[in-house]
Amino acid sequence: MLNAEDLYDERENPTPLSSLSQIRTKKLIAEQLNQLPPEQAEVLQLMYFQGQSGQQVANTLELPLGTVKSRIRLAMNKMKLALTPVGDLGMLEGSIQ
Amino acid sequence: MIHRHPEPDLLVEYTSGTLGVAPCISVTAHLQYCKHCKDSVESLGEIGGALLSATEEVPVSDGLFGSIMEEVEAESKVTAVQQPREQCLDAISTQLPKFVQGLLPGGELNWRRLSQSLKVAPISVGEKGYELALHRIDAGGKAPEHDHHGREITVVLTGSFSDEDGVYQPGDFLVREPGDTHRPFAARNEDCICLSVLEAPIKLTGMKRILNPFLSFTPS
Repeated sequence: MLNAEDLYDERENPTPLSSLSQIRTKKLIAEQLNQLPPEQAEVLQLMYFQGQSGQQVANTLELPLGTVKSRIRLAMNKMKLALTPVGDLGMLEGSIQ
Repeated sequence: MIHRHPEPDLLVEYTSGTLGVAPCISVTAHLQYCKHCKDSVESLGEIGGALLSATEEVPVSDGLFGSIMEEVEAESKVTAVQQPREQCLDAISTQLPKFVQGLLPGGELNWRRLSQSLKVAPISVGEKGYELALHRIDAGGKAPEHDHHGREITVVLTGSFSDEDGVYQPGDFLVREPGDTHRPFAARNEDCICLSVLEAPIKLTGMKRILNPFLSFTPS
């Protein structure tokens, strides 16, 4: 029989640098979460706190599953900047100029 | 190069822990190949943590922590008596990611021939409602055309295969919805091995399940 840890990936040991970037990422994520439109934040809340699947969220909010999926996608896109590592951000800015 | 990835909602279900055992395994298998999704999962975990820390604290009873720890310790005692897993002796095992090797049953895999060039070996995960299996298409072989009664997830592990929609390489994560029809065939130069998760074609809950015991799905 499988254990729960057999299902997920092994987490890599954090280095001091990755820990530092994680703290920075955490702060950015918290800020970005506050700026999400309420309907997108609501979907994430239901999934993370109520443990609902995408389909269950669709049932709870009486929405088509496609709408729930697109709200997740939009929230992820909105937060992409917050999730982009520091080094990549510099590259991104460079590429825009 | 990986072209097919799990949809964002599936990754959210994966990180929030609502995904079933078998689909969860398919996502972890994809992560063995895909740094991009691995990073996304890491970030989604952070989002879950940030949501948690943004909530207001709720007072709990004094004994709650103690009772949770008791349950955790009781569970770890059970885990401690488990025997080490027997190693899979099938020749293909060593070609697969370590994570997948850890799922395989001990000894030889129980390959069953589905057609001239397609074989399947079931993997038991102790979960009803899903069938988890390895599929193997011989080099240059074609799988019979088939449709899907339940949703099917396929992760390419070694080799490559193609169908009407494209060519799929190791790590590619494909979802086929019920009603989709396709005919996969393997590349000529090597066998293709995939991990596949098939959702039960008939899912009954509550009273319907009790009234219709013959319709319940039994994974092999």
